[in-house]
Amino acid sequence: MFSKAIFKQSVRSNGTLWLVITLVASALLSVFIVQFDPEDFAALSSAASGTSFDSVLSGFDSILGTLETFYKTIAILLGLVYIIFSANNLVVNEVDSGSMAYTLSTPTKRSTVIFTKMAYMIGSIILMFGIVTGVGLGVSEVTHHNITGEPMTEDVTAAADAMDRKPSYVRSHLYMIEDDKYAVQAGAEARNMDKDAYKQYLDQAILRDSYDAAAEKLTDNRKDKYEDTDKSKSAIEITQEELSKNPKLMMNDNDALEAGAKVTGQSVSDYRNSINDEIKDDSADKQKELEKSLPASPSIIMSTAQTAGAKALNTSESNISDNMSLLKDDKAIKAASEATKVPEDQLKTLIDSSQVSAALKSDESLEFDVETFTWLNVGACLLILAMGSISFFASTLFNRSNQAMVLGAGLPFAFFLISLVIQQSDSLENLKYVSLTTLYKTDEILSNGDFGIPLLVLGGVAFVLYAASAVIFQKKDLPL
Amino acid sequence: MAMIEINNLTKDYGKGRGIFDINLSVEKGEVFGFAGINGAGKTTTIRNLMGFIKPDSGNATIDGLDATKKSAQIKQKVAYVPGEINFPGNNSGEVFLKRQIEMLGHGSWERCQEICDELQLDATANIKSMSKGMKQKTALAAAFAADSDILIMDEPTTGLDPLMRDTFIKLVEEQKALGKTIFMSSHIFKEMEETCDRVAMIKDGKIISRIDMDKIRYNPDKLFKIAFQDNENFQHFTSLAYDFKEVKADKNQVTVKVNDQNINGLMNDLQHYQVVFFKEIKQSFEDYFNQTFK
Repeated sequence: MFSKAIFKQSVRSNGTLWLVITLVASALLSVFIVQFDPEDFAALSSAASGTSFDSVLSGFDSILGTLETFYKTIAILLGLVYIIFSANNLVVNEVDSGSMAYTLSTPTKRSTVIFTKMAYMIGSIILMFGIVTGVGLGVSEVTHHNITGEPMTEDVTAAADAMDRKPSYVRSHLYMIEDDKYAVQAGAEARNMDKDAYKQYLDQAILRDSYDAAAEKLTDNRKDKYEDTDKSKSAIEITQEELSKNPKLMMNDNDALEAGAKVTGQSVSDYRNSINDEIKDDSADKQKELEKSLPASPSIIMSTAQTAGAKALNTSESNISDNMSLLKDDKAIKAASEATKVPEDQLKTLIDSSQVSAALKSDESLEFDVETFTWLNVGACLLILAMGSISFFASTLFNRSNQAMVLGAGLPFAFFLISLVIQQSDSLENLKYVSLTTLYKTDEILSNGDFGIPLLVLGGVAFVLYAASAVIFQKKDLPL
Repeated sequence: MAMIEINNLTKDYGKGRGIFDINLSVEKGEVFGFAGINGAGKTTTIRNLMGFIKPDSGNATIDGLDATKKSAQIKQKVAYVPGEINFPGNNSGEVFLKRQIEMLGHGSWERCQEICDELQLDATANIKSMSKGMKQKTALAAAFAADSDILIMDEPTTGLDPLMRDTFIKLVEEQKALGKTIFMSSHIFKEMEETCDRVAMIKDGKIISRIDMDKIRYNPDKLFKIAFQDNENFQHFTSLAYDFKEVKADKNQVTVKVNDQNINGLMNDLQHYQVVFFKEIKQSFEDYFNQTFK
């Protein structure tokens, strides 16, 4: 069933292409990850919030969102190049040139030949995506420290430096920054904020982290509790978002409170009290009240304020949006207040809260869900396996290399082009029914939606075509 | 015992192409030639023997095993030289030869080196950059080094120079002496005449003739060409009871067929005539081939 000699031969004749494609894919993915700058996206999305542009940008507001572009286009294109050439090389090229005669003039069964070549083809694709996944995780961990723990941001590094502590330790004990004025100073500078806004941000970030820790503990306990019931996984799980919307969920769970308290550096009873305060005076309600008293929506006010402030300070608007605390300058705030008809102190609060929410959003954008990332890779791998099965099938069906190319390269490439065209124009939406690429639903993977069954279909297509290839190759006449 | 048996083998490619109802039997230790012009069906028959293609009807067996169904098993006994040579991979000839010996599971690298020396082949060259002749030599080295019981060769001497053809003939004779069975297609008469025990001729996919080479090599019926001094001598001789194959009155020449037993009678008769020249016309396999394919 398997011939080591044929496998080695396949590696020798296709290994170079495999290596080049794997390296290029890994390098490009690394560039995507390293280049990701959370502040760019936070600024973009806060500027766009409330506009129709917001929904377009939503895909880009996280590191995984930008990687979707990589997986939908670059990874597929590189994968296609590999499968088209290697499938052609593995079978039809050897039949066409006649070198297959040498393999088949040894006591090797045709079934062994074709299974070994299939094993190489499938194995090399899986290994390629395995390596790309590993490189992606590694690069993200090195640049953003977001795989093994919470994402590391510049302010934490700067604050840790000021305190002469290890950044990873400071990251899991953010309250240490608040207690050290030099650390606050360094962190605020790194974030382009003034100290007041930065402290507000830290409060929010610590609270978020404590919810995170508490939610995890809560979920663990619920898992034990509901282990034997038929509650679904998602019903048992309490996410950080759910908990921050409804902190009451953890009030009866001492373990969760303890975990949360640890993050904030408080005693459990202090923590319980602060959460109780949080429940009573809901900051979301306060925010709404504030917004009601404003003459226009916060985003419009902020943009007017920026324009006016920039004029008063004689600088560009982008300078202001990079560092909103500049707006708090006496001259600028006066001009902005006049332009927006919002009192200065209220405007200051608004600036702070917009800075804080932008910072929190940028933190969020750095979060890297390993499971989602893995599914992006598994999906791309299955799509390439399915496309590869078309090329492999063509390679066994025909005896002439160029004929096999027409089907084996033409069809997968057409599928890829269709997926590009669909993105460009809504009127061509119906084309999605004729392309395999639409079964790789990256948007569903990112939103944790329904993506499993289409992926199973891709696996099914690959299985059927590889099986058909094996049958054909064993039965056909070979012109050797 | 027949090593190779082909029974009513038919592979129809349409438009008269293919092979039709081929019957052949090659005994153990025999060197069997398969002669025919290009496109006659030699390669199609060999592809069937190697199990690369499946017959429409009939079958071929090698050492009692069905060539189609037991293809892989048969290859333990068969070494093959393809008609069109292209080696797998992109390595030196040595790497290819070693790998081939390994995959075959028999034969030896030492033997292979001896054959390379005999063929004056430098196997260290890359197989992709080899000339036609070098490729052919490498293919021969792979086949002869295999030490298989049966050798199947499709036009094994294409691309070889005349000296190398002699080496090839020597190699075939060595194999024959070792009791190997050899089946080779060719359209080169000299090598067939010198090596083959029997030859089958194929034309338009059908066997049209089977020849025992000994009958050509040691034919007791010989042809003699005799030229006479003048017309008188010529006229007189032609009135005798001989088997005249050709009579050229204008040149006073005749060609007679005489059995070895009657050669003395002819000598005696000729004493009474004025003869200009007297020579034997050698009947070669080429003549036979040309006559058959006319």
